[in-house]
Amino acid sequence: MRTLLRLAGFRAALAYTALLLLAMALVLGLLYGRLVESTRMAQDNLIWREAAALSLTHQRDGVRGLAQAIDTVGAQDSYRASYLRLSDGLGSFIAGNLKEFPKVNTTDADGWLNFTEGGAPVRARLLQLDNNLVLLVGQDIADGENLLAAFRQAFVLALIAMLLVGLGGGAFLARRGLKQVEAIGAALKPVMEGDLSTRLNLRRDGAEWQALAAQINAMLAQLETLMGATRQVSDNLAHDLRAPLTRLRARLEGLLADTGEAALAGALEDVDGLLKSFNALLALSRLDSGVTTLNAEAVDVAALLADMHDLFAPIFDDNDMTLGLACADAPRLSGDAALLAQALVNLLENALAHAAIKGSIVTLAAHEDNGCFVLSVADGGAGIAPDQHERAMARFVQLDESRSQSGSGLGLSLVAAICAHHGGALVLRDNAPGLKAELHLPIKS
Amino acid sequence: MGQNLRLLLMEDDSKAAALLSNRFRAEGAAVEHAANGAAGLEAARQGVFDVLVVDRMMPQMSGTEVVETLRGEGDTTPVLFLSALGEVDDRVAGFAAGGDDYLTKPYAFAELQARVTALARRNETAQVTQLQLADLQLDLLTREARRGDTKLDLNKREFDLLAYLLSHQGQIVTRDMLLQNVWNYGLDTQTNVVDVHISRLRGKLDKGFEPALLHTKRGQGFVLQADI
Repeated sequence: MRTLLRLAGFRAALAYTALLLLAMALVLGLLYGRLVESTRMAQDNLIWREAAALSLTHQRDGVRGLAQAIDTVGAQDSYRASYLRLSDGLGSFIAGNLKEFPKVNTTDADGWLNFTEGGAPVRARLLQLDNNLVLLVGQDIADGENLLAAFRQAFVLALIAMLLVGLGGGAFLARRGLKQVEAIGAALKPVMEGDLSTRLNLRRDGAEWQALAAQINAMLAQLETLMGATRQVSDNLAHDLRAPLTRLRARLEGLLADTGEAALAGALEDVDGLLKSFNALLALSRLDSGVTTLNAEAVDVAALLADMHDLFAPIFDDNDMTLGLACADAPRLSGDAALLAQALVNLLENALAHAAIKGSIVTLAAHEDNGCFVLSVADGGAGIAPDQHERAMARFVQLDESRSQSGSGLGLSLVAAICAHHGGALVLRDNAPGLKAELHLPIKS
Repeated sequence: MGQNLRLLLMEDDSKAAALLSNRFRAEGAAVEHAANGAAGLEAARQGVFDVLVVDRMMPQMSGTEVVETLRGEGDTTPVLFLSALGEVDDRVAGFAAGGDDYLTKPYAFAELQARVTALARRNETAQVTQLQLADLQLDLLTREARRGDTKLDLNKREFDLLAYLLSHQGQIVTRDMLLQNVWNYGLDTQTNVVDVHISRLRGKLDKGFEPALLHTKRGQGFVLQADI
């Protein structure tokens, strides 16, 4: 029910039902009012007519004639629809079918008495015939009251039925709308996974859904074209830059082999540095644009961390730092081992470049947290101020520009892109002191 | 590189092809060059080669098409693809076409040479269990390393590193080759992580022994050899 209430379609149906109920209650209320009014009028008229006839009898035939007439009416009225009681000024019974004065339930403002006699509701009026005579004229109104009660019941039932139909119809319509949206979501899942050739097919459904599907399909087509163009550009760029760099590298290598000139070795190192930046930038733009599809395999996280520890422990040692490894039994993670390794390398090299404090400990760790697998590198350096965390992950940003670092400023942004590629995120935290960089990777990715 | 290694190079970039051919010839190989896919296919059908080095992107006929055609005709000559495209799916496409190895441009000549040699030797089934250089001896079965009579105390990774260098003795081995083959990760590093491992290995391998065997070639990598 709570999920149903969150659906826009159901809420609209609910509001519409409420409005209809209100309108219907108003109409039925008015109708009922008129019904009560006319029923009362008919009952009262009957009593008035009888009272008028008896009053006439009294004027014509006196008390005796009246008493006789009352008894005659009582004798004729086998259904006891009429109630009559003639009494003297002190209330003593003279004639009629009510020996005792009835116990009155309510007295209306205009002089009508209501009481119950023999289980039936009775409406009555008192007439002062002369100083010593009081006549009660009453009428059994059970039929009218029963009719009114039947109407009341019918009206309430009608309102309840309408409420149920409104709720049910609303739920049905809302669920149908939800099904459409879910169908669109399911149809778009391959797109999220990188298949941009997916198109929606909602031919049998309503015009508004078809219009939406057409829009989404147009958008997908555009996206596919753009993605193809991006891929083409990045392929061309890769080819056009790598081909001359390959020649340059080969030429320098050839010259170095022939002459042994030390300057050539430096030039070769520069070419390789250039290539690394270029490769990082190319990888980053491919990851960011979604051109690269996730090459998922089962990654043994514990082995990955152990390998990275094995590779980097000596260089930390040479810098008078310690690389610690904290990894309990890690599960296998679905991901791209080469990319994850590259992400860890970038974080470890960041720690070497920016947190090189002698005697400090850098910890490479893995743990499970809230449906995510968290790989982290925590250092004991100067850290990054929390308000700079976002900026630190941007491209080409080097926070400590005063220091001459050799990095390209792509390291952290590449790590962030690799995390995003796995459906996760890079989270920077204060390690007090130092920086803790965490790769949050969804376990079921 | 063997004196009699016969190589067919299919590469549309004529300057790069000339540089490459010269290097291979300097190393004693016989190199034939084809400047496009169609010519390459024809040359491969006519001649007998130990290894085909094929650029993936060529005019008229792409490298993958050439190799697919050759494989379809029953040619099993080992093929190494060269490509500016280094993504995983590009590599997969290369292997699917019938390639045996895949090298992304730009590459160090040392790496290309090592891979070509490995492909040419692929059919030599003799299992090597002993490696040797000067007074250095490695037993790959017992995982023992000795210089002369002295047993070297190497950890697992140092042993693997030395074994790889020793199996490529006399050749330049790049940092990328070591990361790829000893640590099994293709990584881009900004620091000298590999150099630190090499210097530790050198400390155990060369300290107190003559001659020094493990040398650094600046700008290129490392080489294990007795005379320099």
